[in-house]
Amino acid sequence: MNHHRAVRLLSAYLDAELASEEMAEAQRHLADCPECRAELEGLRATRRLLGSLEAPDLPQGFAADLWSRLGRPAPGPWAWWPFWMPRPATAFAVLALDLVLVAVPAIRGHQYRLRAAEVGPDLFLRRAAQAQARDPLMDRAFVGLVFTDANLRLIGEDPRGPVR
Amino acid sequence: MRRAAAGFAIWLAVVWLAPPAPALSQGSPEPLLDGVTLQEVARHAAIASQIVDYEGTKVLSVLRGEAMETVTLIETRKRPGRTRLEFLSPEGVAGRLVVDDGLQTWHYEPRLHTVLLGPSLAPPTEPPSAGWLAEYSLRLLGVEEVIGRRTAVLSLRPRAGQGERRLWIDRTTGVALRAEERDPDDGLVMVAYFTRISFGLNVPSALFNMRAPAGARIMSQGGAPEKLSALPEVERAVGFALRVPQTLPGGYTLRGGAPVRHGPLLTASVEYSDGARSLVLFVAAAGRSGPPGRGDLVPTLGAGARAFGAGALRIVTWESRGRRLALAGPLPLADLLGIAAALSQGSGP
Repeated sequence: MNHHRAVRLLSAYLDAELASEEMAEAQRHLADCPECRAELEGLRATRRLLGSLEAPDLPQGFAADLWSRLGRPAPGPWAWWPFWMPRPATAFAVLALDLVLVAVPAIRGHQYRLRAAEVGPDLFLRRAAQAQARDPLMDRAFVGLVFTDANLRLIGEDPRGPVR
Repeated sequence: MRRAAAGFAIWLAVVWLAPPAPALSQGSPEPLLDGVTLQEVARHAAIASQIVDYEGTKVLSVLRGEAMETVTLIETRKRPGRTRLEFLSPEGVAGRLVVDDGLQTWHYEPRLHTVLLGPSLAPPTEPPSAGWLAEYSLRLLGVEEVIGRRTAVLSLRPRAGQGERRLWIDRTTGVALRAEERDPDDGLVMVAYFTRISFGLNVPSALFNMRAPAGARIMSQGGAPEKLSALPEVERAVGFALRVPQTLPGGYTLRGGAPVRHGPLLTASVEYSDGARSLVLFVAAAGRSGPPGRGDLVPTLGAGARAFGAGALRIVTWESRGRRLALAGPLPLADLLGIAAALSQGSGP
């Protein structure tokens, strides 16, 4: 590696951004070249000095003001998101909406089906007891008992529940 | 009509007060008791509630699962078609009051302090049509005394089925003082008998004018008498086609239908009658109603088929061609399953 090339690569060398072969060549050159070593030391000192400086706080609205001066709207927090993909918040909202639209009727339908299966037997017993009332030879007390038991089950009560 | 019924009752009373004829034979379809046939005795029993007032204590035993539950109550009847049932025991039903004024039923449950309004359970006011027991084989089993009153013991067996109903019919009034429902598998599934009865009382009408107790919760469960409609009307109400047969095995013919809704369950009830007993077929969209969580499994009708019931009243439910079906009636399970299988295999729902 000649001296000129070594000088151009010193900054990259300091940042450890050189390929391994170039890094080895740069190290060999630095070992033989006092100028480059002095240049490298100068770069290190500059870097230390910059690193010790405190970053000043930008005034509020600086970014928006800057973008307005540039004639463009300020980028939002999802500026990095590819324009052709829905942003995460929108995507999540759409997904949630899809879930709601699909899941809620399915869950409600399932619940209805279970509830219908639950009330069915008592509704059938009640209606069948009512139909038996048309049988003139059917015992009235039996019809009344079946009918009223079903009545209570249909309102969610145990027909032989404890006396309160 | 009432005058004719009263005349018929007096005539029967005169005929029946005579000592039993020695020629009384079991199973005789011929006229007996000086010209009164078994059909006429049964007919008398069928219209007794229209011509006789009474008040009595009744014991009712009903098969529930594996055990018989016995309930005691006071039953009061007053013409035309008014009934009052006051349950005395066991503790779980004690105090329950059912008052049917012929238009609607008031059911008061004291432990819940709730009144439930429902349709009337009064028997039909019109006398049975001729041939109403054509599907039954009638037999006289004998003459017995029940609580000191002479009764004719009548057996009614459906010609196409296996069950049996036995009635101890009071010779004077026609009221059944004892009734039994028998099943070939379970034996006695329901028995009801009076331990005390008084006829011809001047039963106060006020007993049938129900007033809700102060502060009671009142819930309506369809107070108006339910009217049976033609099937196209029911189809419009439930939103699906009813492909049900006009007749069912056992001599049951279609009477009509009605939509029945409770909560999420919308079903069409289609009623059949053999002249005396009624079968009710319930049809719902299978996707709207799952199999019930209780009852005995009935593998012969497919997965999800179940059977349950209370005493003589049984229900079998199953799925067929996208419909959830339930068949309910006072039949032995074997008979009900036979009709259900015929429905599934036929062109029905």
